[in-house]
Order: sequence, then structure tokens, then C-alpha cells
Amino acid sequence: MKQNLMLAVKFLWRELASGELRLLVLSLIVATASLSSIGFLINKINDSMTDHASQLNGAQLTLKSPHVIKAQWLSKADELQLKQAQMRVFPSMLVVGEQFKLAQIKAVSENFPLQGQLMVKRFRLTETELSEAGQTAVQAEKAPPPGSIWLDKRLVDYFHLGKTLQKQEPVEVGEAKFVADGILERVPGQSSSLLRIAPTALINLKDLDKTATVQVGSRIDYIYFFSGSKQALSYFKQWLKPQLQDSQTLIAGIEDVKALNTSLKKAGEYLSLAAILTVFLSSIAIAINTLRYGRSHYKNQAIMLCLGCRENQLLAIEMIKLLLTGIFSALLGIILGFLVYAAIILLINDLITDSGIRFYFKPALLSFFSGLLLLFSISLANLLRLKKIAPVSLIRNENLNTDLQTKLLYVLGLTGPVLIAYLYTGNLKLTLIFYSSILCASLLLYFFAKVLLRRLLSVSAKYHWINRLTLLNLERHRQGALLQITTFSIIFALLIIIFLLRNELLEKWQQQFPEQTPNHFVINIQSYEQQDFKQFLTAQAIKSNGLYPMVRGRLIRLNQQPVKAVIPEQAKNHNALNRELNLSVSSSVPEIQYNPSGQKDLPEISIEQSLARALAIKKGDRLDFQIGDKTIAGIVTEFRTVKWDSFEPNFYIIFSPGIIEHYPMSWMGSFYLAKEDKYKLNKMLARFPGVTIIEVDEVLKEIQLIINKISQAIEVIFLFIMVAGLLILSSSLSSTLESRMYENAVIRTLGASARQLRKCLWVEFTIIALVSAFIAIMLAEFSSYILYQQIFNINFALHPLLWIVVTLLAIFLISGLGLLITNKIYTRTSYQSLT
Amino acid sequence: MLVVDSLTKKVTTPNGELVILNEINMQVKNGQTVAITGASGSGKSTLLAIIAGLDSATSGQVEIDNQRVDQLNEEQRAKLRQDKIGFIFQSFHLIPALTALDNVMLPLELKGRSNAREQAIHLLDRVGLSERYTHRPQQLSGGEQQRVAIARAFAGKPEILFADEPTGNLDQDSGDNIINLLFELNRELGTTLILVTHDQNLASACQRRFKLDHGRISEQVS
Ligand SMILES: Nc1ncnc2c1ncn2[C@@H]1O[C@H](COP(=O)(O)OP(=O)(O)OP(=O)(O)O)[C@@H](O)[C@H]1O
Ligand SMILES: [Mg+2]
Repeated sequence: MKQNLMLAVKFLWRELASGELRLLVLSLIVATASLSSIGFLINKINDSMTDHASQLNGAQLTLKSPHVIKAQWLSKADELQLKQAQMRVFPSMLVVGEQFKLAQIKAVSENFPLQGQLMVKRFRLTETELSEAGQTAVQAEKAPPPGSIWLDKRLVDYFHLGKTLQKQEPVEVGEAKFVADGILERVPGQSSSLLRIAPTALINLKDLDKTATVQVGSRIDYIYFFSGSKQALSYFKQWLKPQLQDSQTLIAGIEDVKALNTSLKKAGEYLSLAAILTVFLSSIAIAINTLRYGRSHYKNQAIMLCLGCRENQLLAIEMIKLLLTGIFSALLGIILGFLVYAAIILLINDLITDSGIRFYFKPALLSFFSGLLLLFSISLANLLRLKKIAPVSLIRNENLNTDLQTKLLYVLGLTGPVLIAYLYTGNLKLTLIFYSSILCASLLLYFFAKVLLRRLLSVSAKYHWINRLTLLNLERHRQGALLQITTFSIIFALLIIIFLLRNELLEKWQQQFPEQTPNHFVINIQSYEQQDFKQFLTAQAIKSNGLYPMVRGRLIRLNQQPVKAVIPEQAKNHNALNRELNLSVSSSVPEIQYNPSGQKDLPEISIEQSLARALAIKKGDRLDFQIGDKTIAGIVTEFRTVKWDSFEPNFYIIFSPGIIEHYPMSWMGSFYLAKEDKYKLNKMLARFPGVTIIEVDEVLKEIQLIINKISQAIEVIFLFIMVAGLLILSSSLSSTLESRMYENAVIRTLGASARQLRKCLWVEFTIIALVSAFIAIMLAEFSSYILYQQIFNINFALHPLLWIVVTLLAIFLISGLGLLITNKIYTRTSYQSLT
Repeated sequence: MLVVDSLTKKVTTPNGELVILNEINMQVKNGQTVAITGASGSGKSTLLAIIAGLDSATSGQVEIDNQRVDQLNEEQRAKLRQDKIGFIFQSFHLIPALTALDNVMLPLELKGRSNAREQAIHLLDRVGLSERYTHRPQQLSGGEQQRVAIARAFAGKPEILFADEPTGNLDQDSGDNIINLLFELNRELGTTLILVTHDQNLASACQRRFKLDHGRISEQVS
């Protein structure tokens, strides 16, 4: 074994030094580098988003409860060494002198917030400081000291507290008096689903009792914050979940910021798609090089056998070589991938300043083994072939190059890339569709190219610019030329499509939140004030998409059975069963079309698809909802997909018009407010004291930032695709080098000049380039036509400029690269080539 | 002792059955030098390949040191080649990626010899290539490559050395050089030499000469 290892190392060393493994190693490096950098990136983005979400939420884990939680839960958290903070949220009147206003009081414990920053504009208490600075800059704070109250800007404006805030009369909350000495800029926990009524006033938890506002039966939320190590948190979460009551909710990380989550998933999908492409392209490059390697080593292996090497020994040596090559390239690839990832992170650093560039072990390991898998699956045919080597061919001086089971190689070779693509996207369907369409396209193109080439040759033979030598060359290399044309045109087509669609995709993605995406929700608008509210919005020039009616109801029965009894086991804890759902009615949601043949006696229901799937609800099922003390039933007639990241009001359940209007209904809507217009919220609340405003502007800003940054990252990843494409070109061109070298040397000894040879090669390469470019352009235009029409709904137009650019680029790349690579033919003497 | 007993090789071609070797008999004692001559296409290379266990016969037997070569499996043949047989080819067949020294070391390393390097250096010195250890095959002339091939063939201290047209690709001088080298090594190491050649000089330097004609063999007595 040791001796095999030494031999393998020696061979490998020599082969690396001689450069014959260069392209193989490079392709493998590109494959692992793209996989690892994408892996690092996805992990990093996930991490920093979780951080962000924690900062928005004020902690990594938040528990909301309508009453005090069991002391045992808190001691469990202590046991797990989780940091804790608490908050009580309740509505109360603020009184300043004669004026009063309803506010949301948040009483927080000393160490609030655990995560993120509580940003406050503090007012100093001493006269001198006040006269000097008036007010100080915004700074991060913990809980207000006892006796202090910090107020939302809107409250400050309302009470006209202004600059000399602390000189004013005290702010009264219940029976306690506070000194207002801070303006709240940002309070963590505000942008999650916890948010309720603005405006907010923040006090210390120790002062809560003094206010005497909290009595038995009063409306109050108990919020508990936890932070700590990942393991401890997830353990705690698992431990807590089964003990939770229906009224208690756990909020962890980004899971609950639905819009953020959806955006991130999309980013991950784009990145994974880029990964599949790079893997596919590098696999081709690897396959070409392995094929070539196998061909050129057939003779060496026969010699080894002649020298008394056993077959198994030969196999062992080849395996070790392969393994070492794989390890070497994969390690280099991971290093390169890490560098690229680091560069991307630096590029988008304002997104992740918090935690910097982190190394992730899991994606590194995954891409390492993916690299090995890729290499071995593609090389498998080469290894199997070892058994078939006949050393006798050395004596017979037969052609030692042929006997390669290329079909087997293709089939076996595909398993690796397919497996990896599946591993990375987790989407078997997408993977299979991608590979099978590539396969079909290749076959079709192959035959198309065959016909095209034949016609081209027979036509061009009549013209003098293409001489007989070239024709002979192309005839002789027909199989190789066809394979090259097929590969090149697929690569070119893919690159064109990517180039065309990249902008479309990214723009579409970015434009899902245009400038004035609604960033505030308003709920609890009563039916009688609905018209007034609409007028108010128009009068204040606030952009809105209208108001939607809603009724809050709980799903209690499915097909007249208690719902928890008939749904699948794993759905028993589904969120939708534990709370009231927002029910709406279709007359105000214009895109809903009802089946006119539906049952007449019960209203029809359109249900959100994923909810229906989770609860195994089918069309035709009857659903009963409890609204107050009444119930309402309906028949499911439609499934609907809801864009959770649309920042429009979304409903799980929409009824057909008729019955639900008779229930106590309120209205909700969303609207856009720029930061400087936020004072209008005061007017709104003054005019409509009963409505609740939910501010999502911070979350939205985060999402827009993420999308922007990730788009930039994806652009960088496309570079990998380009490099992989170039590798294929040069691999494919140099793989025909050996036979060309020999043939051209023979031709030269017969009297051809270097100039003639070069011209001949140039014509040959240019024909290949032209045919490939032509097929690629047609394929790309056709595919983008379909994609534009089907996916993007954009009017399709041909891209004539692209035709010219691609054709020129193809000639430049193929002929240029080809001549460069085959340059050895002329620099070497014929004697060297012939021996 | 090499014994070939009524060896026949037939192949089926599109035009019917072709008899390449017909009832070949020959016996060669250890240390003898043997030349096999014959017209092109007479079956010399085929005979060599079968005797060396690289190819199989249609019928008949080949024995090397009382071991039936035709009855060995692939693994045993590899062992036989490693232990007892050396090859020299018309077109040298050195491994292009390896240096001259590495090429010569290869059979020794396959045997697991610890002093492979010293032995290889010694052999390269012996064939007059002291200055060329680190050169690759491409950097050597044909005669030099063939000398490396000879060094490689003798590295394993084979009992029998097969050479198929060892001078076929070389000019007169280089060819003579190679012949002298082969015979010197034969004398020093007692290796049996079985040479296929067109070269009358080489053939007449051998102790025994066989001629193949239309698949039949006959020994020529001078
Ligand atoms: N596998 C095979 N199939 C068909 N014919 C074969 C096969 N192997 C050898 N032959 C034929 O057998 C004959 C003998 O071939 P061989 O290579 O042994 O000749 P040779 O004496 O070495 O000739 P040369 O001096 O030209 O090297 C040739 O006519 C060859 O075409
Ligand atoms: Mg021959």
C-alpha cells in the first residue's frame, strides 16, 4: 500500500509539474470554489439576518403571554444560562397638566434590550448642560432609570414638550409621576408582530406598581426576552413548546418576520441556482479533461501492466492519484471560495458589520465532498476501463487512444452533478428538469449541428477560401467537432440567457418593493368611520391601496367535526388553530373569482394554499368559524397563493359576499409614509382614536437593503459561471491537441508551411465558432422568448446587437483560444511530434 | 528454460479464418540469445506477445521455468512479468511524464525495492546516460530513449528479455550501440534474450536464429 501511495504521489507530482492536470485541477477548483463561496454566503446571510431579526425583536427568543408565566420556566432559562429581560405592555392614559392621551406603556426590566439597540435622544437634567446643548445626540440605552419616562416623538409633539422637556410638568401614568427626559427613536420589539398601538412610552419595570394601572383583568401583555447560545436556545424552545397555552406565542429569529424570511429564501434560491449552473459547467470541463486524461494515459497504463504492475495495483494507484488530486483541488477551491466570499462580504459590509467574516465548517465540508464526488463520479468510467487495458497493444503498436466507453462516462458522470445540484437546492424536481432539458437539448442540438455542418461543408467546398485540407480536417474530426459545437452552443446559450435574464430577475426582485411600498398598516377602523378614513387619507395625500373589511374568527370545525380531531397529527400545533384568523370578504378583493356553480346555501371560501395543505383541507370541505359567540360556515371552493412579502393586507380566508357582512366588521389597510411625514400619524390618531397603526417601515428598510446587497453578491457569483464556461472552451480545445499535433506534424513533413497550417486551423475553428454561435443565439432567443412570455410578462423583442456580439465573441474566443492552444504545433519540430 | 509447444493462433476476420501462427515449437535454454526474423506480417510480434503472456494462443502451450504461462490468470501473469520478464519495444514506450530516472525506477518500485534509486542510477550509468537522469523522454533522442528503455528492462533483473525490433527506429550507429549493450548485459546478467528483428547484423549476433514464414517457424543453422 505504502509503495502504491509513493508511486501515486510521484506520478501525480510529475503530472502536475508537466501541466497535463492543469485544466482538470482548475475545473475542480472552480466547482468547489463556487459551491463553497455560495455555501458560506448563504450561511452568512442567514446568520446576519437572524441577528437582525433578533435586534428588531430585542432578543433571540421572545415569549408573549397574557399573564405571568410559570416561575419554573424562568428558572429553566436560568439553568440553561440564558440571559433574560422582561417587558409589560398595556394601554394607559398619559396626563400632562390638562392634556391627556392614550399611549402604549412599555415597562421594561433593567437589562432590556438583550439584542439590538434602544435608541433614545436623552435630555440632560442639569440646568447648565441643558443651556449648553439643549438636547443631546441619539444614543443607545438600556431601560430608563426609575422615575424617568421616555416618549415617542409623537407624544412629545402632542404635549408640546419640545426642547425644555424636563422643565415641564411631570408626566402622569396612573398614580405615578414621571420626569420625561428622553425621546424614543427606536425600540426593539416594535417591528415584530408584537407591535400594537402607537405611540409608545417607556418606563422602568420597577415603577410599574407605583402607577397602579395594572389590576386584575386589565389588558396587559407579559413579554419575556431570552438570549444565549444557539444550542441552549433551541433546547429551551423545544422544552417550552409543548407546555405553551394557546394564548402564548414564541417568536424566534426571522421565522416570524415572514416578509424577511420569504425574501431570504428567494435569495437562497437564486444563489443555489447559480451553484447548479456552475456545477454543471465545471462538470463538463472536468469530464472533458478526464476523458482526455484517460485517453492519454491508456498507453502509460499498458506500459505499467507490461512492467508487471497488477491490475488491482494499477487501480489503487489511479484511485490514490484521483483522491489526492481531488483533495488538493477541493482544498484550494475552498480557500478560493472563502476569499471570494470574504470579498463579497466586504463589498456588502454595511449589511453585516456586526459579525464580520466568519468561516463556516459545514459548507466547507459539504463543498469539499461535493468536489470529490464530482471528480470520482466523472472518473468512474476511466477507472472501470482500467480492467480492459490490453498491454498487448503496445507490441502490436495499435492505436492506443480509442477504446473509451464514452456513453458510460456520460451516464455515470451525470450522477455526481445531479446529486450535488439536488443537495444544494433541495429541489429534486428543479434539478431533474434542469438536467433532463439540458440532455434533450444536447441531443437535439447534436443532430441539428450534424445536418448544419454537413450542409455547410458541401456548400463551402465550392468556394476557394476553404481549402481541401480544412475540409479533410473537419471531416476527420467530425465527431469531435460536433461534440464541440454542441457543448459550445449550449454554453453560449446558457451564458446569453443568464445575461439577458439576470437584469430581469434582479430588477423584478428589487422592484417588488418600489419606493412607495406601504410601510404602515392600520387596523380596527370601524365600519361607520371607513368613509371618513378614506377621505382623511386623500386629504393628507397619503398613498394607500384602499381598505379591506375583516372579521376576526377562529376555525373550530372542519366538515362539522372539531378541527383538531380531523387534521393530520403534525398540524395540531399549527398557529392558525391557536388564534383568531383575519377573515375577509371577496367583494373588496377584486382578483378573486368565484365558481358560479358553487353551492348556494353556504358562502364560498377561498383559502390560502399553504394553510390548506398544512391542515389537509380539500376543495368542497366545509369550514366553521367562531366569531364572538356566533358561528359562520362556508365551503372551500378555491385555493389562493398569498405573497407574504407584498406588504399588502393578506388574508388566509376570504368569503364570498352575502353573509359575513352581517357580523361585526372592521376595516384594515396599508399606506406609505416617508420618515418626515410620520407626524401625520398623530393627526390620524387624533381624528380616529380607536384605530391601531402598525409600523413596518424599519422591517421594510431592512428587506430593501438585503435585496440590494444580495443582488450585488449574485453578480459576483456569475463570474464563476463565466470562468467555468471559459474553462470548458479551453479544455475542449486542448483535448484535441494531441491528435492534431501528430496529424499536423505529418502534414508538415509532407510540405505544408506553418502559414498554411495556421490558416487551415483558423478556418476550421471559425467554422466551429460560427455554427456554435448560430445555434446558441437561436436557442437563447427561443428560450428567452418563452421565459419572457411565461414568467416575466415582458414583451419579447429579438436582440440583434447580441447576435453580432455573440458571433464576434465566439470567433474571438474559439479561434483565438484555439490558435493560442494549438500554437505548440508549429513551435515543436515534426520529429518531436512524431516520436 | 522456455518451451513453446505446438502453438497456434487463429483469428476470425471478415474474410474468414486467418492462421497467424501454425504449430510453433521451440525451446530456449536460459541465457541463450535468440533472434526471430521474418517478413512483415509473418506473425513475429504475435508470437512474442503470446510467449510473454500478453496475448493468448488458440491452442498449444508455453512454459517458462516449468510454469504454464497459458494457464495463468491475469494476476499471476502480472507477477510473472514482474519477476521474470522484461520488454523493449520498437517505439520505446517510456512514460512521458516521468524523467529518465523515474522510468527506470518504475519496475523496481513496483517490486517494492528499497534501493530502487541507487539501482536505477547504476543502470543509467551503465547505458551511458549519467548526465540525463532528470530529462523527460521528449528531451531525449531516439537512441537515448531506447537506452533508457533497456535500462528499465534490465532493472527488474529479468530472466527473459523480449525485444520487438529494438533497433527499428534507430540509425545504424545508435542501433549498433543498442545491440552491443544488449549483449553485454546478457553476458553480465545471464539474461535470456529473445529478439524480433529485421536487422541482419543483430540476427547474426545471436546464438540461435528462427525464421517465421506464413505462420510456420524454422530454425536456421548457420
Ligand atoms: N487481432 C488480430 N486480428 C486480425 N489480424 C491480426 C490480429 N493480430 C495480428 N493480425 C495479423 O496477423 C499478422 C501478423 O501480425 P504481426 O504483428 O505479428 O506481424 P509482424 O511479423 O510483427 O509484422 P511486422 O514485421 O510488420 O511488425 C498480420 O497480417 C496482422 O494483420
Ligand atoms: Mg511486428
